Amino acid sequence: MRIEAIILAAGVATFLVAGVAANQQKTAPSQAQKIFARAKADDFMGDSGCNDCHSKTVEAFHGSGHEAFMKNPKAPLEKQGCEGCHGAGSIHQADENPEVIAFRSMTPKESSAACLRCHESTLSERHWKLSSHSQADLSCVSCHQIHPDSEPNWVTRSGKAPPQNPKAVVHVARIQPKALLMADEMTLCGQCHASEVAKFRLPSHHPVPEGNMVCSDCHTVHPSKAAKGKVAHTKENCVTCHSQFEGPFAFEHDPVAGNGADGCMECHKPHGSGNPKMLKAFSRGLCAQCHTEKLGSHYPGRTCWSAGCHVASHGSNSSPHFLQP
Amino acid sequence: MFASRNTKTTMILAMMAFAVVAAAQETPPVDPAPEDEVVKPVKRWRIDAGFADWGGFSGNRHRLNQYATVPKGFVLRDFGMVSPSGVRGNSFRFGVRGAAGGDLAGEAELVFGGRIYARFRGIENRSYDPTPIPIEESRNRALRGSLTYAVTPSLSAFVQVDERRQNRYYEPPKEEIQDRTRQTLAGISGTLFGGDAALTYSNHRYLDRSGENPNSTRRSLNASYGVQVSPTFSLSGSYSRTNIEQNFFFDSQATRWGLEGLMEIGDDATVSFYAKNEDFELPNAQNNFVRKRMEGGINFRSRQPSGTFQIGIRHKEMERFRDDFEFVDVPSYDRIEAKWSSKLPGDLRYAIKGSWDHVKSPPQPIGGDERQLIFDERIRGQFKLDGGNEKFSGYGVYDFSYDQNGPRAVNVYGHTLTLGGNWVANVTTSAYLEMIAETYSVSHGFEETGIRLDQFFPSGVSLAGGATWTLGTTSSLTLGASHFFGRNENPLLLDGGNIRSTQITLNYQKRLNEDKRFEVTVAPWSYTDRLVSQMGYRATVVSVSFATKF
Repeated sequence: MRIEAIILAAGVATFLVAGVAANQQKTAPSQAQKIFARAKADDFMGDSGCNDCHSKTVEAFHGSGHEAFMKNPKAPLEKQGCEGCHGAGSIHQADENPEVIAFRSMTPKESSAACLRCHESTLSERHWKLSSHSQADLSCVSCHQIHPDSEPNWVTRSGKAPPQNPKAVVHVARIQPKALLMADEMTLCGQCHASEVAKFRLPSHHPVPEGNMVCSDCHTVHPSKAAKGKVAHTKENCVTCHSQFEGPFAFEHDPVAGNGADGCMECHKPHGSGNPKMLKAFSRGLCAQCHTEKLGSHYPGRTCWSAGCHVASHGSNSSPHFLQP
Repeated sequence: MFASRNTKTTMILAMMAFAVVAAAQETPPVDPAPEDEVVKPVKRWRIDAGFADWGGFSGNRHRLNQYATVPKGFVLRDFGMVSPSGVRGNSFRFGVRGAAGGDLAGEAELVFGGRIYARFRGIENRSYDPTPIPIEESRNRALRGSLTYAVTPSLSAFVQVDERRQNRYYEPPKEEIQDRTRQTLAGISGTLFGGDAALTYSNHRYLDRSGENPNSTRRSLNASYGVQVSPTFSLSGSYSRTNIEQNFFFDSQATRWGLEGLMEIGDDATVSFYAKNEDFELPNAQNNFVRKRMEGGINFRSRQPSGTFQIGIRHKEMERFRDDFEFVDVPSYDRIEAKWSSKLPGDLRYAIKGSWDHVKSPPQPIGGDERQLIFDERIRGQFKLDGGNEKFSGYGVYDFSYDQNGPRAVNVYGHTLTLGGNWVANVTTSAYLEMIAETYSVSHGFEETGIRLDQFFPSGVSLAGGATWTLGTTSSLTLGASHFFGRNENPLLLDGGNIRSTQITLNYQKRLNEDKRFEVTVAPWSYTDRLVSQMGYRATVVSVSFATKF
């Protein structure tokens, strides 16, 4: 308890010092910030100026879910229309030192910084840098498509075209991705996480190929300020849907309670498995990895949970051996 | 539950499909509109509807519909609209899909004034527990609504409500579950004193109508604050307090605080670290339980011209009461992990990563066999190679896992190989192939009644492949196939262990004009359980649909 108090005090002190320091020191401006800093009010021409040369792109943008956000009448000029993202039109057309914010030709760091100019209320650059996606040199436009007409070039992006999912063609009641994503999440995430997505082809899986779930139902892609889906549980994220296993139970099963190394994944493979119920091993072999003495002699010939014995293997309020809920 | 062959319907659908295809092919190609023609008004509405049938279905309907109901009868593949472009920052779009007597899904998005964003999503899923005996259909309904309001450019508030209702039926003796959860999340996040602040409240209610579990309410309060201390150093902290009320039980509490930071060293190296602490008060626990968990870690990452290197260590320890509440174990977990990724000549990239986990002072069971129950050593490794060009591209991933329980002499080795490739033959033809294979080898220091542990670690291979042909300027044909084969000693002769499943899907699309499209799909699927024949099925799913915009 004493050590904890010291750590807590040190943390609070660090924050006080950090808060003071933060007010004194600012991060270096990004390329986008520099371009917007250059612009004067007269440099903003409005969308009609862009339409002269980029008419198809401007027209296609009318179908984008992003457009409405760029038409907020209360937003400042530098956050409206095409110029809200790409910078003032006059600077783009200037004879001397013309500049434009071209998201796909900038470095991932600069490209993300340009998007985060407007998304700072939910996701700051600081949050983004902490994410593994940022550390893998991805940027916002690696996954998001602001102009609906810009076809993603899968082959050149990742060296891999998205494989067809035979089930996706047949099952129709599918959750659609958010409007600004480049593709459905299984295709999109599979560009880099191909082996994980391939596991959904195994016979026992979460219903992602059937369209009843998407990757972001479980994975927090953005470490946003509020981390909306990640409110502290006593157990893992799995209980958001499988609430019947949340407890706390009078008799907890150690791995389910997260006291082992991998929590729910101690027994389950959430992307897919050749065994029923996404289990790591078949039938009583799963339990016998740890409870070795029960492999063959303890009621032989039956599966531990489905034979009607340890029916409450995730935790019980009445039976220390999980024989009933 | 076992349907008879229904080839008549299939034949009618197939005849309809080919009739429309033939008619469409006779239609002269549509000339592209001249550039100077008057711009047509944008068509905001869309509909895609048709019919589907499980042609010649035989076998186990439960297995076919294990995760979702395969459409049969009228099918609405898509119906929706996108509102006209909002002049004042308003927009609306929605889409619904579903099949008669089957699954339904829909979502809607609304932007109001460029500052309010609302999203609604709903899905009703019908499925079955795969059993050889008749049971009731399970239903799962999930609804989510969220609203985000940008109060100022640097401050936003949000609320999200999720409701999930499930009626799940299982093969006896497992009891059915009928429950409902409703979670409300509300919060505010923004900039405060130069840092990022967020406050979130959540209320999660669980109602078990089948009486298996006590009804409960979980309330959580989360607060976090982060600052960019200097251009190269950021720090953030979080705190949460959770209270759980359960009917007929005492309240339980969980408190968590955490700290994390990132330091940039030059342009190409970072050091990140985190620490967190969790305290639990679980007055109802009658067996072993953890009252405290502490965890911390540090990670170094460096990007060099030759590649990117990453190494990290983590330490976790906990205070765990033994069953008799007379002793507290303090097991600790250490992990070392590293990753190296680089490029090779010929547009190839590779990555090697691995981790090693070691447990010290593992908790000891009391009474009977006192050997530890948890794995004390774990090794994970992965080698990944990918790359290609616009003609050929491919990837290969080898995953290795090792779990060891020393005192019980259990050693589980896992090997997974995933290979995939894509070939773009020309502008009209492309093909892909993918394979995933899993094998295990298990050794142990015991044998009981002739049964070995390794007999419960089956191997399996899944193959997938397909091709797309573009036929002229208006048609395309897509073939997709996947096949799984499981090899399982299955000493207890149970179902679900020795299976073979194949899904082939052939899809033909014909664009009739700029806004109209016709589509026909023929999908012969089969599933065979080599030990329990009642679990298999054979079906040829046929569907025809017509899509248009208006």
